[in-house]
Amino acid sequence: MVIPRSGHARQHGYGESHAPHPPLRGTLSRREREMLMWLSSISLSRRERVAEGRVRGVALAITALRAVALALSAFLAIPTHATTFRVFGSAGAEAALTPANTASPLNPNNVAAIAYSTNTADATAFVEAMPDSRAWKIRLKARADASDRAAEHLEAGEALVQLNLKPWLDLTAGRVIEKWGTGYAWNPTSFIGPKKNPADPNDRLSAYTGLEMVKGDLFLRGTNVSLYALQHGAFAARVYRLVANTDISLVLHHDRNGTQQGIAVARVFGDALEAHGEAARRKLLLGAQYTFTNKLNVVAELYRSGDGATATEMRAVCQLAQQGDVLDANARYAPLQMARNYAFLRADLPFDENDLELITITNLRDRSSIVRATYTRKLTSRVNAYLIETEFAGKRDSEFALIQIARQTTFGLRVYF
Amino acid sequence: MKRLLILLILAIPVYAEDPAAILAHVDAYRNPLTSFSIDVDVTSIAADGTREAAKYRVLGRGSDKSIVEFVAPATDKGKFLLMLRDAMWIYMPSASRPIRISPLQRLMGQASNGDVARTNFTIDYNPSGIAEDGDAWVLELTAKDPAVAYNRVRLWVDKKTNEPRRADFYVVSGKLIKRATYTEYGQMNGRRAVTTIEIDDLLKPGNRTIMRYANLASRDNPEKMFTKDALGKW
Repeated sequence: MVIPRSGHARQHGYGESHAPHPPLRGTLSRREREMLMWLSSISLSRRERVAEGRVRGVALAITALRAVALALSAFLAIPTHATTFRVFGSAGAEAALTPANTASPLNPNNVAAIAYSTNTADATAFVEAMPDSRAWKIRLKARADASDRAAEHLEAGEALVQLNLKPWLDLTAGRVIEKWGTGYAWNPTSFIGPKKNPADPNDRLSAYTGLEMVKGDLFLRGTNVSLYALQHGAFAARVYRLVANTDISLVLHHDRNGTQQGIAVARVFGDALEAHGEAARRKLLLGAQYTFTNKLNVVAELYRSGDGATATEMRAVCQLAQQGDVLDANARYAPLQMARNYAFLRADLPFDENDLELITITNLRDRSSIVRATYTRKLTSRVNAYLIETEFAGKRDSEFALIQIARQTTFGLRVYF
Repeated sequence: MKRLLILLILAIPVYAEDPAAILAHVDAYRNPLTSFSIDVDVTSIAADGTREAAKYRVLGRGSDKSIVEFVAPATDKGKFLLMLRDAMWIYMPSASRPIRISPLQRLMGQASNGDVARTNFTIDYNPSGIAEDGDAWVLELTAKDPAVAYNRVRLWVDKKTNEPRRADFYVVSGKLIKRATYTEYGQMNGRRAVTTIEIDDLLKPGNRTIMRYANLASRDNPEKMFTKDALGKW
């Protein structure tokens, strides 16, 4: 059975960071309850539930202040002879409505006890400093978030020092977000990058976190070579060159699980069409992006993962649930990652102070789909308001009909600084 | 027959001016330094009078390498655009990687990425003809590469000073879609240079973008800055 196991489900689960940890019911064992706690969150459940009735506003405000304090501390710690500072980021608050999908065999009678509503707040600050000579650079990405269903959380997504040793050599040490690949929704060659949620490919809440590493970047006559020393003896390398107006990257990663290689390419044709592709062992992504003269931007991608589940293996998940083993069935369920073939389509139209985005992701075997529509309104040069509606469609027991929530409606406000 | 030939030759306008030399002068007014930084304020005005403003810092090296740092509005802070000849990448801090983009993916208003990042005609166009229009030369510029966004440009240049006055941009179909007017000049870094360009969208009458240039400074931008992998890092 090659269905992604719990680890995958936890990393790749559909949805965003505000999904709740539910109260548990019935006669499940403690281990089963713990398992269901994070399975039921569908998405990034890594926090503990806080007691009901807590004064949410105070908690959220404290968390936001912590993020600002961390950014300020970093700012003050920067050597005073740094002459270029960049401080920017955003803070936001949003509410999400997630009615349970009790028709899913993975959540009968809302056994996962998914909460109907969740309120969250987050703040992200980027701080950068470097001298005029650009001999070095310090970069910090600090992020804090809080929810009425989770504890506050503060972390450094990136914290690095970069040294410009030679005109052809940079050295970087610290926690670094490294993104490889040319794909929009999936990046099969992103061996050391944060896991991407195809339904939120732009990481709108800036939740990505980097890996600890020492990195050397060599700039050799139009060819860039990056060498990475990672934790636990792992290492990686990437070679990039623009050949005949085509971006070509070759990547390699080695850790205790073995060695992976991949290639990523991208090219622009004319003034509106971009085509891209990525290939790694048993994984392939092909895509294109077209911009119309009215600014409508369309991205289409096909993704194949040879490690995804077959039809038989997918059926096994449903059978497990129907036989009453809801826990194991949930453990095997990893939406947007578990199937073999997906199609992705995104259309984005900015007009005046508004932006409309529509994303659809379809499992090409069972034809089930996720549809996500986002409307963003620019209120001022610093403030955006948005409404996101996510719906799931598919026949019974199809991948997206199994999702434990019936739909997700999110509305929020974000302030940029 | 001989007389007819002589008459025909005399009838053809002959200009002592070399279009390529005029174009080089024009480029010098837009990009007077080989390695530089310059601030660009862009104001986009819609037909209904709505205004939108943005600030960029352009770092350039040579005639075909430039980086645009997004300074304002706050929603765009931390973004960078790299332009190497006709190839463009954008870096967004949330995505943490440069993404290849096409020329039509615009920065804002009527200003395309190239309008802000590109400060040179010679790199994209060959002068294919010259004519007179009052006290201006009119250069016919033809794109060197079909991938260039505007297939043809007609450029009005002051005869006395070689300062660009106006440029009309045509797409492959022959349609005139954009007009740039070079409205103000000033001293920057001890040189006379274009300080204001107004761009009119002729497909949407009333839509105008004003680009104001300031703080031109000589700056040693190392070669490695202008690589996709270094974008957003320095």
